[in-house]
Amino acid sequence: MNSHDPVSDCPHIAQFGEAALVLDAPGAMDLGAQQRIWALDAALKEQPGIVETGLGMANLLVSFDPDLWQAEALADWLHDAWVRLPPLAIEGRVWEFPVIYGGERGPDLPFVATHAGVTLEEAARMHAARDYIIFAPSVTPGFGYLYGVDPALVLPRKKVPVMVPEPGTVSIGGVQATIGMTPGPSGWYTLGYTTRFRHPFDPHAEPPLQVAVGDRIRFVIEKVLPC
Amino acid sequence: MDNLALSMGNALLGNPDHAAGIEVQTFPMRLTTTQPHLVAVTGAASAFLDGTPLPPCWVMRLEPGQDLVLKRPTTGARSYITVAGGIDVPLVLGSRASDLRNGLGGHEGRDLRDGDLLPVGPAPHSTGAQDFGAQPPDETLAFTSASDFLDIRVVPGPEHGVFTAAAQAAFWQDDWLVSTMADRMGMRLSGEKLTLAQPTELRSGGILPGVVQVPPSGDPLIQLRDANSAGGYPRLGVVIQADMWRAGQARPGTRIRFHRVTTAQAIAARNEQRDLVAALRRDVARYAELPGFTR
Repeated sequence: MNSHDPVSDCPHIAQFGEAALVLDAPGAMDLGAQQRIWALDAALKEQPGIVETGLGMANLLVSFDPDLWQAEALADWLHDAWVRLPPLAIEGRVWEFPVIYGGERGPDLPFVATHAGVTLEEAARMHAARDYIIFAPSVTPGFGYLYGVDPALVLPRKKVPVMVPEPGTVSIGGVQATIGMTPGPSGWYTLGYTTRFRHPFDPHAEPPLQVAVGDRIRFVIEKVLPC
Repeated sequence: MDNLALSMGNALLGNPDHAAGIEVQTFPMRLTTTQPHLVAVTGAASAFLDGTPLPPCWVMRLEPGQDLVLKRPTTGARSYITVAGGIDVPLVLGSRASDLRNGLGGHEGRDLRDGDLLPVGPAPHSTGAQDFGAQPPDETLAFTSASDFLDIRVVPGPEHGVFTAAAQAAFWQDDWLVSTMADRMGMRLSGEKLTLAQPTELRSGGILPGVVQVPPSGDPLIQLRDANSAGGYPRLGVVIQADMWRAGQARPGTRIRFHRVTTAQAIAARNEQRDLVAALRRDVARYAELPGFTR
C-alpha cells in the first residue's frame, strides 16, 4: 500500500450535481481501501450539513446542504480526513449459507470453471473457500455488495444481462459476490443457490436490516450438480 | 416526481412541507370524501369539480357528495392532490412515501385502487379560506420551457470527460426523445448513441435522483425519484435539483433539451424555487386573513 505517499494516496473527488461530491479511493479496491471509506463515512455522520452518504465499492457519495457547505471546502475536508483518519476495522458477524452449486439454478458454473481452468467441484470449492465481506449496501435491501472473489474466478460482467428469477441465487460479478434478493435482469454469473435463504430485511423490525456493513458471508458446499 | 407541485399544494393548505399527498398519473381519477376537507390540486392541470374545470394550482372545499375528477392533462404527466392535514398513512422507516418496488409505505405499499379509503390527519388551523390558487411555476420561475420542448438544466457529471467529443456535443446540442421506458425510477432517452472514448468499468457506487447515466447501449438514462441507490454506469451529467420537477412531468414522446449550467447557477435556481414556495406560504397566510374570506 502507498498510504504514506502523499501523491499516490490522493483520493479522486468529483462534483455530483450541485449538492453532492463523490470520492474514489486511490489504488486497488480491497479491504484496506474500504476500511478507510468506512472511517470517512463514520466521521461524516458527525458533521453538520451532511445530508446523506452513499457507501460504494471503494468510493463514497456525500450529499451536503449547500447552505452550510461549499463544495470546495467539503472537498478539502474530505482530503484532510482521508489522510488523517485511521482505517475503521469492523468486526462483523458471520452468516453461513449452504449452497447447491451448478444444475439448473447454477447455469454459469461450467463457464466460470472453464475460465479458471478447473473442474466444477474445484470452482465451487474456490468460491466457498473465502469469506465475503459486506462492503456496502446494494440497490435493494439485502446482503449488499460482497467483496472477496478468488482472483481466478474474476470475469468481466456479461454484455447482455439475463433474467435471474429466484431469490437466494448465488452469483459473482467481477470481484464482487451476491445473494439475489429480487427477480430481475443481471449481468453476473450464477453459480448456484442457497437452501437457507431468508430475507434479511423487515421494515418493522429493529433494526430493519439484520445484516450490516462489515459482516461476513460464508458459503458452505451442500452439493455440486452437473450442468 | 413533481416535488414542486407537492410543496406548492402543501403551502396552499398551510400543511408542513413533508405532509403526504396523492400523486396521480393514471387518469381519469375520481375522488370523493366522507367529511368536508380543504383540498388542493397542483401539478399538471386536470381537475374538474362536479363537472366544472378548475384553474391550475387550485384550493377548494370538497364536501361529501361532491365529485373531484382528474382527467388526462394535455401537458404534463402527473397531478397532485393534497389535503389540509395531509394523507395520514403510517410512517414506515420514517416516511409516508410509497416504495412500490419493495411494497413498502404509502397505502399498503401499493398503487391506489378503486374503493380505497384514505385517512386524513388533523388539519392545520384554518380561517376557512377557499377557492383560491397560485400561479403555475412555469409562469413565475425565471427559467421556463418552450412550448414544444422540456428544457432541463444539467451540471456535467463525474465521467463527462470520458465520453467522446461527439457524444458530449450530441448530449448538449441535440433534442432527446423520452422513450416508453419511463417510470418513477427513471427514463431512457433516445437519440444519438453516446459512446465512451475508451471502455471504462466503474466500481459500483452511490447515485442520486437526477443522474444521467449511459449504459453500454448508448442511450442515456435519467434516474428519477425512485432512483436506484447505487450503480456502475458512467455518469455524464446530473439534472439540477431545481429542474427535477420538470423531469417528473415528462412523458413518453416528450422532447427534452439539456442546458449546461454551473453548480453556482444550480444553487441559485434551487434558492429561487425555495423562495417561491416560501412566498406562496406567506401570501396564503396573508390572503386567509383578509376580511370576507373568513367564515
